[in-house]
Amino acid sequence: MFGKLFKHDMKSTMRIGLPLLIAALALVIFGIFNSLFASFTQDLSMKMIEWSVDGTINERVAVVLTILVALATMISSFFQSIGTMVLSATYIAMVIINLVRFYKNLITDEGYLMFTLPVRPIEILSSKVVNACIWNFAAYIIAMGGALIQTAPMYIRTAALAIIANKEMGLEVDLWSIIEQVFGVSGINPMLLALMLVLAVAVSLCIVIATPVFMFFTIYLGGVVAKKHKLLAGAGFTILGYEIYSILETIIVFFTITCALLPIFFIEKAPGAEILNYVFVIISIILALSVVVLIAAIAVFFILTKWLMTKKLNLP
Amino acid sequence: MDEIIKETAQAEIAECDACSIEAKESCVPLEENESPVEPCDCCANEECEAQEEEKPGETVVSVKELFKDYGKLMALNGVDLTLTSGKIVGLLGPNGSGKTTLIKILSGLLTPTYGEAKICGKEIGEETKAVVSYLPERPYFGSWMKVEQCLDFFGDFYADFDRELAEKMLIDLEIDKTKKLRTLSKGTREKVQLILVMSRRAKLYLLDEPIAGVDPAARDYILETIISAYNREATVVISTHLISDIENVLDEYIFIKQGNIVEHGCAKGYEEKNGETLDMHFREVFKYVR
Repeated sequence: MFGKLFKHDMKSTMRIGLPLLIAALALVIFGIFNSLFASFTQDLSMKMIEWSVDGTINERVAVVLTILVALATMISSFFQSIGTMVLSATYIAMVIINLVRFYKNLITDEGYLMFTLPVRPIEILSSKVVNACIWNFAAYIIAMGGALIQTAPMYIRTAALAIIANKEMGLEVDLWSIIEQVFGVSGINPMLLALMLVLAVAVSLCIVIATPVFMFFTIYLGGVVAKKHKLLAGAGFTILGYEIYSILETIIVFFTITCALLPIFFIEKAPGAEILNYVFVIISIILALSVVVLIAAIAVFFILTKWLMTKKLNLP
Repeated sequence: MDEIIKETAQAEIAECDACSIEAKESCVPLEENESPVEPCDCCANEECEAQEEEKPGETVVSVKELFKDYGKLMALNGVDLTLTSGKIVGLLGPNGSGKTTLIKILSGLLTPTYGEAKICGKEIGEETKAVVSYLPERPYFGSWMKVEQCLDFFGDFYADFDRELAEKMLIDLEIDKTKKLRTLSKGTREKVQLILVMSRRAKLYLLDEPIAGVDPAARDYILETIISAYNREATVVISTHLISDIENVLDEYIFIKQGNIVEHGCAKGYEEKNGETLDMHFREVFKYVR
């Protein structure tokens, strides 16, 4: 029955979710072209300087072209900022879509259908959670990936220029040396850096799963506790829960970081990469703990919601 | 209404052994291998009771000491009830008497505060939901759904759903199954929902106010659909306060008042036996005192 529930949940979310994701993808494609256009205007401005210096174009033409390039750059930057904001909003919109579907499907009139189906509450909840995670994850990938991809032409151009410059100077270019140049130190442990990145991705994944699980719990709790204005009550519980989580997170992370990084202040001479590696270890530990806490939170909120659906089901 | 009864009963009508006039199927005390010769209305009530004593049907609903409160409000106050198969039962009471609460508990939408409710001997759960066909008093499909998607939905989840029957009824009513629910009128949406619910071969039909808020012509159609489409081995519980519209189709009636069952009796031939209609009796029982 889970498969059937999942199929119908996917269908109902697809009505709004799919056009949203397609629009976001279209925005990413537009962003890539916008970025290419921005690179082109930068190249053009460089060329204009060369042309005006060697007399290929006269001053008046150079001024007009400069104004046009400046305008194009402004427009391009504006669209890039808007695009990034809209892409971030896509993820939030998808989270809200899934919440509204959950609320309408289980707490309003549609709940009369869902809760009279010959299925267990855990199947209903699992279907909703898996469905929400898939859509939220898709939106997250498009939002985050899109923001990176649409700026990619600019990075590629910068990297290409750097490689050309290095080659002209007869220098070999390797990726690791570029990363070390970014951090400004040499001797970084690559395994540690990789571990930190993997843990960061794991935390992101856990957040994508934990968000609907936590919000489904608070929304359902609102539906059970409140006699009227159930959605408002659910939103209230969500905000309250989020605030409690934020305060606890801030306190724990602040104390962990403070305690962990305290020894650094007593080192008389900064040993460069050693400190950076130490910081990476601390961040990795915090990230690993976050993964454990988030998995535990997912389990607890899932079980609590299932319990509410089984024992406290009270449709108006 | 009488026409509906006549039409429905015609297929099953034969001559009564006792007085050789037309009678209805539901009160026949059949022995094994006996031909379905039926008693007339005048004999029906007595024979109905006799049938209950000699060959009681399978217990479909069993409720013991059922309590349900909504905070300070006691919606059900120690209800005891047993319903057997093959009956159309009217759950009758004024607004706020506990009809919907009882139906919701039986359909698994509410958890009782205290007490026991079983369907076909099983605790309310996914097993009982598979044999209960519930019609709520409100639309429960998303308005974005097409009628055919509703059919798909029922077909996916209910093994006892007869899609052919549902499609036939949709054609009879000239309802376009490719249309979205939001494009249909309120009455048509209700009909779609009723068609879906009655197209199941369920053991228990729980119909909450199926005729409230619809015009008299639609009421006739709804009752006709209920009578013609329901599984004869099943029990149909119809909750309403519009007694006069349904009393002729009922086998049994239950009066519920302030969360208590105050009367549970045989509705067949009630008028002949008591000299008043069930509707008149209802008005008497639930009369408001100035």
